[in-house]
Parts: sequence; C-alpha cells; structure tokens
Amino acid sequence: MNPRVKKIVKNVLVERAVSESPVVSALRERLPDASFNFVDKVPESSRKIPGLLEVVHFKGRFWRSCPGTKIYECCGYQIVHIGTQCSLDCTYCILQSYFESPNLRIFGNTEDLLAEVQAVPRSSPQKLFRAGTGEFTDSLLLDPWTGLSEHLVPLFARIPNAVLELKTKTDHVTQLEKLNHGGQTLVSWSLNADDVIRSEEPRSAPLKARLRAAQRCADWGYFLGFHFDPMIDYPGWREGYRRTLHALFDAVDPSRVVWISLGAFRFMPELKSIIQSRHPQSRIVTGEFIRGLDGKMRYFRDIRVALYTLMVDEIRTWDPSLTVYLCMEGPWVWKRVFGFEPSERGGLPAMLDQAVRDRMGVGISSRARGAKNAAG
Amino acid sequence: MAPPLLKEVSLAAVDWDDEGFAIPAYVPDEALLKSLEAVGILHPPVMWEKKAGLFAVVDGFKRLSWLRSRSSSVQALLFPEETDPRALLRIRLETKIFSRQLNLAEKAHILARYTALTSEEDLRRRICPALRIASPTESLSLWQSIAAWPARHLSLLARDLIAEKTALALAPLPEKDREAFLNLLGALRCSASLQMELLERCLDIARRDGITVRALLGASEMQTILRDENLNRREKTAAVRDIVYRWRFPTIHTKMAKLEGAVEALKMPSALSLLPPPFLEGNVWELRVRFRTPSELAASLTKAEQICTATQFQAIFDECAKGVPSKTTATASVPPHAAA
Ligand code: SF4
Repeated sequence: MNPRVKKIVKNVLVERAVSESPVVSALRERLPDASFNFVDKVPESSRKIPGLLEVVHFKGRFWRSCPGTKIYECCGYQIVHIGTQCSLDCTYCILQSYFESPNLRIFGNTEDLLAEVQAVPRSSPQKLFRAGTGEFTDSLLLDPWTGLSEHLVPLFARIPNAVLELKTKTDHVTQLEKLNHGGQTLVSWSLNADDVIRSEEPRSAPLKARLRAAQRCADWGYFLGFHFDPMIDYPGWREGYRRTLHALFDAVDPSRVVWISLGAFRFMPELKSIIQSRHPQSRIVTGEFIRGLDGKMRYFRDIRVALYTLMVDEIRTWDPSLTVYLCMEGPWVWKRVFGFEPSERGGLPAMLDQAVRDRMGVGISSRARGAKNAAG
Repeated sequence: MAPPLLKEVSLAAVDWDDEGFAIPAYVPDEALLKSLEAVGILHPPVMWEKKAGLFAVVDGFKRLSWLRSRSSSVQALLFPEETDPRALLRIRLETKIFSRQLNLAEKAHILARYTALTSEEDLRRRICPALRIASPTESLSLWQSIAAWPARHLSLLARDLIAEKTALALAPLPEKDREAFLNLLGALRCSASLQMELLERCLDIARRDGITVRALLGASEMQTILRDENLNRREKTAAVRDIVYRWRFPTIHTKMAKLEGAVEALKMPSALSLLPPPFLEGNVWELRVRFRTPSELAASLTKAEQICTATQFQAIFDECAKGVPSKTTATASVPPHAAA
C-alpha cells in the first residue's frame, strides 16, 4: 500500500536571507506547482491563509528544554525547534491560540539549526539527550517537501549521546527509508481511539495508515514510540482505546517500541472558547475538568486514573517490560496507576534515559553497546 | 437642515402608530410619571411634520402618551416636512446616547438603529464607547441581534435582571433555548457571575448530551424546584445551582459527596476540620485547628492524634483511593434529562 501524501503547500513566502538554503532548494524542486515569493521579512499576520508556507530566518534558539512544571512530572524532553503551526487542525490543538503567526512556518537557516543540534549534546558528553521536533508543529507534516529529516536523522546517527524522536500524526515516512539513522532515531505516532481520531483529528492520517507507516519504519530499522495523548473521556472510551491498542499490538513488534506515553486531555482555560467557536461539533471541552495545580484544565483525578489504568493493564499483557509513562501527571496519579512514583526510580527523565539505553542501546559505552549488539 | 420651530400641534393629527423614531425602554418610568402628574410637561416634545397636517413623534413618546388622555394639543418643537428623516433619527439617537444612563435593551436598540445610518468604523470607534460597550469588534453583531429579541426578552434586560455578559452569551442561542434560560433567570434573579456559571454549565451539558437547553431546563427535577412554593428565591437558586453542578460533573459530585460523608462519619470536634486537596488534585491534606488558649490547642492535638489511628480515618483514604466503577464510562451514565 502506498501512502497518500497530500500536497499541503500552494504558496511559499521566503525571506531573502534564506533563499539559498537547502530547505528552500528542496521545496522548489519538490513543489514545482507552488508559487514562490521572496520578501525581506515575512510580515506578522493574524490571518490564516490556507496553503501558505512561510520560510523565515529564525534568530532564536533552535534547541530548548521542554517547559515542564514542578508539580506535574516532566519527561526532560529537549525540543529541536523546526517551525510552527500545523495544518492538521486537530480540535484540541494548542497552536490555535497562537494568533500572532497562524500560518505554517519553517525556519530556513538549516545550517544554524544543524550547528546547534551538534553543539548542545557535545557540550555535555556525559548526559543523554532525548530530543524531538514535534513540539510546535507535526514532525513529518512537511518533511516530504522540506527534506529536513534527511539532514537531522543522519546527524543524530553521529551524536553518541542523543536520540531524535520524530512525532507525527501523518503517514509521511517514505523519505525516511534510505536514511542512515544508525538506530538513533525513533519515529513516533500520536494514537487515539478511532472515534476520537475521526471526530477530533479528521485531517490527520487514519489509525490504520499510522500503524502501517509505523510498520514500514520498523522494517527500515527505526525504533518506534507511541503517544496516547490527548486521551479523551467519551462514552465508549474503554472499548475505543482497547481496539486501538489491539490494532497496535497486531501491527508492530514490541521490541521495536521504546516507550508509550499516556496523557489525558488538558488545556489552558482560554482554549475552551476557541475550540467551541472553531469546532462547534466537538464535545471534548464538556468533560469533567477541574483546574489543575498548574492552572490548566484537566480531567478529575479518578477519570485520569481510570483512563491510564486500562491502558497500562492492556500494554502489560503485550510487553511487561515496555516503558509506559504518564505525560505531565502528578506523583499521586502515578502512585495509583503504577504503584510507584517516578522519584522512587530516579525520576521520569532517568526512567526514559534507561529505556533509550535498554531498547536503543544509545547512551551506553561503545564497548557495552558492541556486546549488546552481539548478544542481540 | 432647517431648525425646528415651537408650534402648537393637535394631538389628533399625530400618527400614533409611527414608531420610526421610537427607542423603547421596556420598563415604565415611574419617576417621569410622578413628575408629569406634579408639574406636567416641562420640555416640549420633538415632532416632525411628515406630510402636511400629519405629525410623527421624534422625542417624547412617554410624555405624549401621558398627555393624550389629558389634552387635545401640545406645544412641540416641530421639524418641517422637508427634513430628512434619517438625519432626524440620527439626532434622536445621539441625544439618547448622551442624555442619561441607558438600560441594555435601549443600548441594543440604539446600536441596531444606528447601523443603517453610519459606518461600522464609526459604530466601533465612537458610538460603542459612548454606550460603554466593551470589545465592540466581537460584540457588535451580538448587540444587533439582541435588538431583534422579542419584547418579553428585552424587558428582562431593561429591568436589569440579565447581566450584559449573559445577554451577549445568550444572543447566539436559538430563541426557544434563550427563552427557557431567560425564564430561569427571571425566576432566580441571581448575580451576574452566577448567571454565567449556570449558563456555561447548561450549555456544556446540552452540547455533551446532544439535547437543547430548553429540554435540559424542562427536566422534571428542575421544574420541581422552580415550582416549589416552599422555597424562596435564594433557596431555589441554591437548589438549581446544585442540580446543574450534579448534571455537569456527575463523577466529581458523587466522589466529593462520598468523601464528605466519610469525613462527617469521623465526628471530629468542632475545633478541628479536615480538608482534602481541592478536587483531590494533589496529595496534601489540611487539618485546621481553632483554639483560644494553649490548653485548648493541646486538647485538640490530642484528639487529632487519636483520630489518626481511627478506622474511620483510614476509611476516608480508602474512599479517596476508589476509582470510577469500571462498568460505566468514566463519565456518568446518562443524566436524567437526556432520557426525557
Ligand atoms: S497534529 Fe499536533 S500540531 Fe498538528 S494540529 Fe494536531 S495537535 Fe496540532
């Protein structure tokens, strides 16, 4: 089955400072029908223009730490900032509230990005870095045309103390096939119950397509990750999530999976009215939310625990040793779901680092890695 | 435009059905009526001779309707026939805007009438601020639709029973839903913040359960409260608030009620109160001790120590640890109104 890759971009607005960049060359070659316009500065606009891609010269930091909170356990993820916005238009997406730049935007100064990616892990060689590009956009949404992974994936293969996670809801993976990933990239999918995918993520790839793409990546030697986030409490959720889990279990070999994360839907209170006006058919904001200790709305504790417990119980039957973690949850919820708090295991970042060492063999000495590979 | 002249106008020659310049207030002006009874008309009403011998009221509707049964003519400021009625309406609206505190119904009317006379820019920049209308960009069209509400709805606005924010939130609703909610507010007469709380929750429940607000408010449990003659308004408001909360947050309501029951079963002395984390978010509980003297404190602390080892105390934590019954969805089963 050949995945469908819909062309999302019709017009490209490029800042002159990055007009010669590899990303722009790739776009020109791979989007022959798109119109290209060059400007000194892409104006800030509050109007969303479908089909427009802005390529700007980004002057900020490409490598950032995920802004966690003290109260809810953060995974210590590192963000590689490649661009902003997304055209998949999930009903719950936080990016809807970023009114200042509503259009798809990528950073054209790829050399600066790659230089920073190389420099940061090198500055702390003892530390293991788990980095990902899917924080402010979907990692692979534009990748078939920008070719960014063709730079990032081989680069991470050369960094001994870092792994790259490409997080997506698309099936845009064909361009990953021939890349030298060195076992240091994991491709991960955000998964959900099929009902939720259909109602809240209608423009993203259907569940089957995501799982098929995951199979292909596994066949090419990539490691995999899955994120059930945001989990939604809706009538029939137990069956819905169970079905998705069983589809996942049927599709991939658990030994390729580095982690599965679980996160119940949470949102800044301001997002509610935006969701209601932009997606009037969506019911997701009518759940039983309370204001969390970080100011975000989150499901009442018992509902979160019920959602997570079902998932953990099912996943354990598939692979008891697989790292399953909760995204931005309090230790009191961890305790009820897993029977322990992350601090008892050195903290969540340490648990995930361990998963990288155990499953990917990254972040252990080269001798140990050789032995592991020989044994594997 | 020619200035008006003070002239005697026969009330029989007034076209009483012409409401082209009317801005209804939807509430009787008791103070004005008393003043008219005491001293009669002080300032001449304004009229327009719309065609020879036929007059339309421009300003002074209430005063003239009072006078109608008492006199056959009035001294009025009269605009001549050739006057442009749009210009006249404009003067009328401007006078109204700057003359006194307007009720919400009047504001809505003025905005709607002005829409045809000026640009949207002028409405936003000048008229809305003069009417003290916040965020005109978002609310202008809502205000205009409020002006088209039926008189019975506008009279609730005019009587200050509906807060501005509530009116704007109700504006996009279908008329029957709005009617049902306005009837509820008319019965409860609650504060602006409570109005919004009830409205938001009712809208959420209706959306969640795929029913109308009207059907929700028509549920027998709700109607029983509203019809209960033994409850005063305050008690009805509390009962309605409680039931709406229960419908909106069934899992939370059930859990917190059970927890409260478990805490009550502890029978703590009145000097002590045990507070779970709000909505059980977090794991820090509080024990509050009230005392006047060191010996009172010591006695309470001794009691608190005994409570810590009581089985009822452990029962609270057991209750707290119980999850959502696995046979249902995490959300509660179908609420009573949905089955109706
Ligand atoms: S895929 Fe992610 S970034 Fe894109 S719209 Fe959905 S939630 Fe937002």
